Amino acid sequence: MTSLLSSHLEDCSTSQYFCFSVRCEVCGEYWYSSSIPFSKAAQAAQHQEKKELYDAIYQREKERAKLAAGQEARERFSQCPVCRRLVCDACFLICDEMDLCRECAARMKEPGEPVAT
Amino acid sequence: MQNKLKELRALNAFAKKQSVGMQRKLMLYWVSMILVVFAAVILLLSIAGAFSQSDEQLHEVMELHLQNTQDNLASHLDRLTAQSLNLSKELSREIEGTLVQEGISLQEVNDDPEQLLKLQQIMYPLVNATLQTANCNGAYVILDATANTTLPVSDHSRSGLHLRYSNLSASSPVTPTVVYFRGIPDIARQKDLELHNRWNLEFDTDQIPGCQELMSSPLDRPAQRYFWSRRIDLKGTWESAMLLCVPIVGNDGTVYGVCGVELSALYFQLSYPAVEGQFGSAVTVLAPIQDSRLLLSDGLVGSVNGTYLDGQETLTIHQGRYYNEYDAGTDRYIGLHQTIPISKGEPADTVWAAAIMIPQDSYAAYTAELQRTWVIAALGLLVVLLALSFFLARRFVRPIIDSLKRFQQEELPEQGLSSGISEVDELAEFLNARARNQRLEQGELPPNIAELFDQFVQRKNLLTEAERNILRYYIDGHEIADIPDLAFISMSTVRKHNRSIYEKLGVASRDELMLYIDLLRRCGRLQELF
Amino acid sequence: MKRRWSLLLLLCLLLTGCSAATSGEHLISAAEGSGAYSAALLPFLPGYALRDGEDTLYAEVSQGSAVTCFDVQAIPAMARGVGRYWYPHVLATVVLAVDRTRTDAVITGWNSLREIGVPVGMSSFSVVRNMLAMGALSYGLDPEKPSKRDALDFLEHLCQSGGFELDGSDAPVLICLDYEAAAWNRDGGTYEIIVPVEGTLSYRMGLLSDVPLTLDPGLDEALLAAGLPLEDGEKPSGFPSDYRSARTLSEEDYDRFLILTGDSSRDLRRQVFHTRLYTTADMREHILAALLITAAILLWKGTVSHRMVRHDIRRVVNVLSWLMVGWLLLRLFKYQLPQEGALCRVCWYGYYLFQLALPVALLYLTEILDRTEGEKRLLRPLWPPFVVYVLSVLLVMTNDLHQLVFRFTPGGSWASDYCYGPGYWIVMVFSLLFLASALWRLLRQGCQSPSPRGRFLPLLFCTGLLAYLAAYIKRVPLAWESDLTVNICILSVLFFEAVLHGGLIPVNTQYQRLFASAPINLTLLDADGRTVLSSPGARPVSRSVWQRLRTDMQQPLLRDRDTQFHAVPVRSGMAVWQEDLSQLNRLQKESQDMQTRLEAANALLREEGEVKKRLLAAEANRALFEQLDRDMERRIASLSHLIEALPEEARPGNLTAYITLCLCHIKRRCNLFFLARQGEPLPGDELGMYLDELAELARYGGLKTLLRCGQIGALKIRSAALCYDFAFETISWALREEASPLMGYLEKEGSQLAFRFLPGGNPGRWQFSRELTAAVSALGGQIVCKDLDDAFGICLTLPFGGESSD
Repeated sequence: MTSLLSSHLEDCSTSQYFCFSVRCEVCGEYWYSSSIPFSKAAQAAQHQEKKELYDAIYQREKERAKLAAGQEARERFSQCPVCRRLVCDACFLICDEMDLCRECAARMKEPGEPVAT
Repeated sequence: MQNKLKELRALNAFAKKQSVGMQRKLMLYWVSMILVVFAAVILLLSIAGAFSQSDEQLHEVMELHLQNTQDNLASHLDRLTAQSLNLSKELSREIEGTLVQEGISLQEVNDDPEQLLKLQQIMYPLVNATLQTANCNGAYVILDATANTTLPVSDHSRSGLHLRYSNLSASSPVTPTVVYFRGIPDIARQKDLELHNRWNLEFDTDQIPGCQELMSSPLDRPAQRYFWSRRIDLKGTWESAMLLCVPIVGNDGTVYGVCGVELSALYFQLSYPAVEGQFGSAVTVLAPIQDSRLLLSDGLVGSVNGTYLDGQETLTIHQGRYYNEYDAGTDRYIGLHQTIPISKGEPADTVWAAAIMIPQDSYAAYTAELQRTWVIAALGLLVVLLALSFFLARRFVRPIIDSLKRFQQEELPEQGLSSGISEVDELAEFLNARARNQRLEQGELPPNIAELFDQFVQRKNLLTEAERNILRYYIDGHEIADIPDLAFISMSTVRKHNRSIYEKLGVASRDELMLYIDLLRRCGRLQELF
Repeated sequence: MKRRWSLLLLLCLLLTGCSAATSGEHLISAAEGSGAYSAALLPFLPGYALRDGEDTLYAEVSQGSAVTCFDVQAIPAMARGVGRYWYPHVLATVVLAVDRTRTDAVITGWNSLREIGVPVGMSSFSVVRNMLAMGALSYGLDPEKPSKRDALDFLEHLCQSGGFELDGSDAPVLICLDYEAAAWNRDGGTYEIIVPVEGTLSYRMGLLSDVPLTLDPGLDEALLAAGLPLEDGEKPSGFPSDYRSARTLSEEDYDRFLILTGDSSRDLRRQVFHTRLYTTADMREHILAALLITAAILLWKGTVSHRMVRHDIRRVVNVLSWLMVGWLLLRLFKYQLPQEGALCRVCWYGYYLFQLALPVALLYLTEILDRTEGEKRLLRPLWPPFVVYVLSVLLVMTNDLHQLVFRFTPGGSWASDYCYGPGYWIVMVFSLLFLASALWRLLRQGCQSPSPRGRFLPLLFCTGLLAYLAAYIKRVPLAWESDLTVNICILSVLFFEAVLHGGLIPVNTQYQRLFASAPINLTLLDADGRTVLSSPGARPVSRSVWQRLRTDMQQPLLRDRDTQFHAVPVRSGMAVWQEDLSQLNRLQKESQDMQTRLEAANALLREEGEVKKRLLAAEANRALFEQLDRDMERRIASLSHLIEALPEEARPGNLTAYITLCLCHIKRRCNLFFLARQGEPLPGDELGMYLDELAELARYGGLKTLLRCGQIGALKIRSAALCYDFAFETISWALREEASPLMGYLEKEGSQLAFRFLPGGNPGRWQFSRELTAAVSALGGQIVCKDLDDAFGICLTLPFGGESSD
């Protein structure tokens, strides 16, 4: 699941902070991870000469932020066992037999209750 | 000192080490709380002046009283003065008329009883009228003449008339009897008056200080100079009185004599009764002040009911904020005084004052009463608060102690005990769980375990496929956090499933669920769950 | 919501006084001055006890008591269904009583009062008595068409000229009831009782009851003995003899009487004495005004709550308005209570619960203004005022115990006869301190406000407050006589409005409508990410989106592929608007499609071009070979012809040499042809070699040949080929004609290439092949035969177009 999510994470980071988004493939809505500020954001702007060092730190922190974002996304995203798409909690229904995404459930005419509203 | 401190510290440490009951501790907190609040309230009240209120109140009452008394007294004395001045004017006209008619001067009346008698006969109706109308107990007139100049006492013996009321008392104030105190007895016989049993023909002017001086110096008009004498003992009687001395001034300025009214101590006492108030009975005093001392022996004192004054004391004045204190040596009085001008043209060494006095004992009794009320109320409040704190502490501690007792008696109900305090319940549950675990570890099984298992296994059929999946993960020993990765569902979904799993299986927590699974595994019935 | 209503209901119940009814047989004296009557009546009503009226006449009657009252009270009451039995006994006439020891003015009736200039008083202050007097006066001044206006004008005139007092029982002329005056005279008064000649009214006094009453016989005598005139006109002694001008009301007059005398207390206060102009004058006005102001305050609260974004300030508004409403309702409740009661006093103390809280609330308001919502640090500095408030209220409420706040004689009439103690001043000083610090904070924040209105309005409010205080101190009627409670409420409301309109609180007056009609999808969020306002089409902003926006507002972000959020910070929150990207996305998609299509087309074209090129190359090769074929064909044909002819040839050596020459020529021509294909120039040396080769071969045929090449550099293949062809044809000719020796020289002359031959014979009939001449002329050159003196010269000139090495 983690690897699936990390492959779906889209990078919306800026030079100041790290933020990743995941898009629900059913409703199309983006979910954004909590932004984590880049620890050297202020210094990086002042010291252009240390750019390489800061770039390295940036990359390292970004990796860490990406992991955190994946963990965060794990709370909200499921994979539909039928269509294999990544869906948000609002689009993921708990049905009697099997948990399905909203569209698959509609196709199979399965009633269900969304995990989150 | 340092040793003491050390000891104290050691004591404190010892006290800290001592295990104290919960209730006592709680009680201690409550009590200290209450004491602090109580102290704050007392402080606030004392700042707000709740305790000095009675002094202020006393001050107000006394000031009012003094004002009233002074007004009364001043108007009384003023009226007497006015009547005496009137008397003096009329007497001088009559005397002059008679003298002119007879063609003699006043000096020639000396040693002439007939002329004196004549003069006194003229003067009598005036004096009598003054006595009847004025608010006093006696009226008199002294002529600057004597019946016998040859006598040794002739230089301070003067002819005159003095009428006074005899049977003054509080019980029969309406019909006093006029008695003849000084004067030629023929008039008494003519007017059918009783002679005073200490009757005398003439006045002894030495008894009246200032009288001689008044007669000897010429004046323009009587209002120029008059005075009230200090209290003097009436010669030969037990009574004492103050005399208003007004000169009888002739046309040419010669002073024919002195006339006026008399205020006896008894009369004053009857006129100014003591006023009973909530602080004690207040006595009215009219007395001269000398060197910040009030000379009661020279003045008049109202009714002294309820006090120990006898009218002879000399009181030392101590000024106070709300009231003055008057020290009589043995007794103390509190009150207020105010100077009052009653004489005119007199040497200014005597200042007269009107005063109101209350025995300090009675006021002290009053304030003590008030204080007692406060103290009792405060103590009552304190006791009520303490009782309340005791009650509350007990109420708070009771369920805890009860449940602790039940722990000690090893009667741990399976369903958890409900003491009404969540911490205690949790502790109970924890102990229960531990006890159960211990038993399990010792290989024991709870008695109704088989039944429980059956129920559990049966209930498992209620689960949906997805929930069963998750349960399987648990059985395989996975943690909740692993499940999203394994089942490709979000954590929220897992939680949601968890809730319904717990609900359907009738367990309260994951621990309980794991306990069931563990037990089933031990019993080898785990496959029933699949 | 439910709880609030139940609270209101409870309050209403309290106000209406739902106390347990004590029913009993009581004789209530409801009419002022009916004491004598009641006393005389009591022995004739066995089982009844005399009691003072505690409630309204209506309530007392419905509780089963018998009530003594006037007909003007009883008959309208019966018309409204209160009381069923009415027993009139006494006839009371409104008269003038003149104290003859104090005035000897001639008085005959109402109008004569206007001239005498002597103070006139009413004997009693009660409402009923005012009604009776007003009625009598109205009827007296104009018996036909009595009007209230006349009576009030008359009294106003009296009040202004001679002096008229409502509670003037010591005035020399009194408006009173006749039996009252007779009673005074019996007690030693010296009143002359005058029945006004203009007319007056007689009222019947009697008993009103819900149950029939049996009165013991002998009542009339007893009433006469008590000095009361009977209903049938019989009067005891001491009454005036002439009652002709007095009339009694008939059944149909009562309604008009009530119209005439209704609200008489209020009218007397307002129109005669000109008091209470700015405040409520009677009970009905008290109630109505309180309810009206309460409603206004609640309305205000509603509007303000709608205008506000911040929740904490909304809470302050709620507290403020409920404080004011509570105060007003408590006051109203107190008005309903009998005076002098302990409950009434507690209500009085209760005022301070609300009054003292208002400055604290305002202080709190100014305290939270410039802080963000939900800041916890805020509460700390507000503890002291709150504690002081609680202590103050406790101090006031326990006043009965210590009398520090209000001082009055216990058991006395505390309502009117009290003075303030030190506690009151302390409490007030604190309260004013809070108010002053609230004002100070308001002013300071106003000064920092960027808008001119924010600076101006607090100043304006302070000025207004100072003006009010000055007016109050100067006893200006509008400030001094108006209702202090209402004024304080209005000032609090104004304070708040000053804060609001000064821009110190974010306001959303018209936002709702703006949002409803906004074409863009706009959402307003508060500091906690809750949606405050949202236009109808706007999609909800999810929590994660809000968090991300809060971190970085500059960066827009996608909600989904078609919606983009942009945010700007607003005070204590943010505004988010949504951009619809679907059009853009569609365009982008279209352009992408187009691009891919174009790319595909390009690839296709490129491939086609390549194929074409390959085709062209093949074609060119074919053409080349064809040309080569064509070129060579003639030569090969003539060569094969020559070879065939070789055996019959007489001189085979010559012919063989010629054939060899031809073969060499063909071979070199092919070389040159391919060189020409490669597009490479031919160096002059190589051409010289080729020419030497030809000359060598010609020598085998017996032709002495000398060919020389000058420095000519690289040559174009075509020029070189022409030169080579020219040399070949010339050598072939010379070989055939045996014009030995042949000399040739190739050189560069200026811009021209010149190839000259000097043959040993006459070239008179010699023709060059047509192909050669055509090719030479095509290249712009020429072949010239010159007849020199002893020899002939053949010259080829070509323009030098090749890459010259120099």
